[in-house]
Amino acid sequence: MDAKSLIEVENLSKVYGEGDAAVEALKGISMNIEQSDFVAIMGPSGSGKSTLMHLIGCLDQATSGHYGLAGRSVETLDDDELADIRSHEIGFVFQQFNLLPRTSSLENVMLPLTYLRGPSTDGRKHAAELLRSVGLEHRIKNWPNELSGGEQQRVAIARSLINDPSIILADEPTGALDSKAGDEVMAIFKRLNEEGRTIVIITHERYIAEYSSRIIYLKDGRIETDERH
Amino acid sequence: MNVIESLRTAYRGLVANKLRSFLTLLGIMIGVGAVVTMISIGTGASSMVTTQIRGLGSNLLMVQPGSAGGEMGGGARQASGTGTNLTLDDSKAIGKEVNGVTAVSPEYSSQTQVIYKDKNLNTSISGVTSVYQQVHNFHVLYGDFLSDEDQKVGAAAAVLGQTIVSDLFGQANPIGKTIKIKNVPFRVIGIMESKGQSGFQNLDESIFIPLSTAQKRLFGVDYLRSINVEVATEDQMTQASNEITALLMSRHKISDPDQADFNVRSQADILNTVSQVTGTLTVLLGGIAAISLLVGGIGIMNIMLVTVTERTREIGLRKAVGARRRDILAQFLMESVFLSLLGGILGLLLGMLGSMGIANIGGWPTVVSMSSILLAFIFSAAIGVFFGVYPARRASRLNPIEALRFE
Repeated sequence: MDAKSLIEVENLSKVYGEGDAAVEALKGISMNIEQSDFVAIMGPSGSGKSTLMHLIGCLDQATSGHYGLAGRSVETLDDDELADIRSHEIGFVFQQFNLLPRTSSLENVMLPLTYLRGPSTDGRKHAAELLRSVGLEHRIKNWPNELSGGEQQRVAIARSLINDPSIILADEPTGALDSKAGDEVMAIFKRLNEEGRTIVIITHERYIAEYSSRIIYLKDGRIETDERH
Repeated sequence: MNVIESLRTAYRGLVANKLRSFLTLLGIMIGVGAVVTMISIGTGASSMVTTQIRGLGSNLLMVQPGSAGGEMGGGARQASGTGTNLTLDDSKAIGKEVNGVTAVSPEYSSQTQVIYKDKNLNTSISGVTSVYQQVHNFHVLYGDFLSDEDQKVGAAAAVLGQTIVSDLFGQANPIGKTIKIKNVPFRVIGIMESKGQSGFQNLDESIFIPLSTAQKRLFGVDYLRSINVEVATEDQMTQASNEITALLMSRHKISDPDQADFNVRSQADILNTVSQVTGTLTVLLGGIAAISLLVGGIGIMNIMLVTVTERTREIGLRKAVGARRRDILAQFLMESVFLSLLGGILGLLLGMLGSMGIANIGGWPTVVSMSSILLAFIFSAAIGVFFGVYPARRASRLNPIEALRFE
């Protein structure tokens, strides 16, 4: 196994519940994701793709197996350390955008800086640049309810970039968008990947997955196919 | 996450729901306002009464008919001050036989009708002797006080309190005029200085006439309402009090002190009783008001729980972007403390206004003390923490995955 992989997943499994009610959502997943890769995780509902996403995103701990992120073993970390990893290494993009209401685009983009322990930089300027890079320089002061769905998702992408994370995790980022806005959002991901960002997206739509360079297909908690295209 | 940042976040959380935040804050505001007002009324009353009793003089003993410890003996007792067994002879005997006594003022007072021309009022008539001025440290301002001669002959002479003068005569000079008390004509010979409320009566609303005149001509009695005894020094108070008790018991042929038909009290005794009463009053008023503060606190908790539920997704998001448990805890705790503290400050202002209003309208002195200000602050902050901890903990323990999925 290549020691330089950004993400190393080895025999990862996740069980929800206990005893008779136990459900094994992941049944031993092993994979690596390299720096600057663009991976799409696909699969029918119940296949475990969301669970895998949560584990990779350090929102949850695996029941067994090894998960290494940027050289650190995640399975040994406690709650606060997980929060720190999320703060420094991971940028989330959600299906429902999850922007703070009654808060400007700029403030929304700056939100993760609040929890960044370490030297504070000029977040305002950086946030404005990120908003410009997703084509929203004219929407800096607007509240989410004044933006279209596509614009809101672009604000969310800018927010995921503010801490300069190692990896961007997008959970059905186009699920709540029409196809035109969805294409715009995917174009941004494509560009970010070309700039060297590592991106993992979950989707159940084939044409969205086509934007990526590698498609991992999950079924019943196992990797069924894993191919580049 | 530093303090300023979490204050800002808390502030924005509250501003986002202005009306709701204000209504929640109103609960604390009214609670703190009520506590501050009530305590200020209590302290004001206490300090007013204390000052008045102090004004009676610290070396004064009051002998009144009726028993002090009524509940000890069986059967019905007369209330203090209503018996008919203290006489002028008792008073003279005290002056003669008790050591350390410098002056004895026998007094009889009663309410009755006073008429001057077309004006009339119902007020307190005090039958006193020439030593009254000295014993009560209350002097005549214009004209003369009642003399021993007036007492001896039962003269129809009257000295008026300031309020009586302005009520009956307005701006006119009353000295030498004739007023009618219970239809008996009295010549006004003097006006007392202003003293105001003293003990339980307003001396400015009294008319002073010779004791003999009051007893025989006006009211037809031969007993006294009280005997005020001035003792030379404070050290001799206890001794004098005991001697008076012994003397009167032997004069009234009583052997058991519990059966005494009179009581001897010093200013300190009265002060004790009164401060006990006003202290209880203050605690009672403050306690009732504190209940409204408690209700306000529950209001905060209620709203914070609603807020946490409403903002579940926000909490999930904050956790996803790196917030630790204690960041979330701090954020929501800060909101509830912010609310209750702001409510406390506004409530303090409300309480000050309230007590000023009561002082103005009711003529009741009120005191907003430093301690009640501190109490209001500490209490409202404590309420914010106490009622905020549970919702904040609930928020901080939310699972980020479930919180993000929350609809």
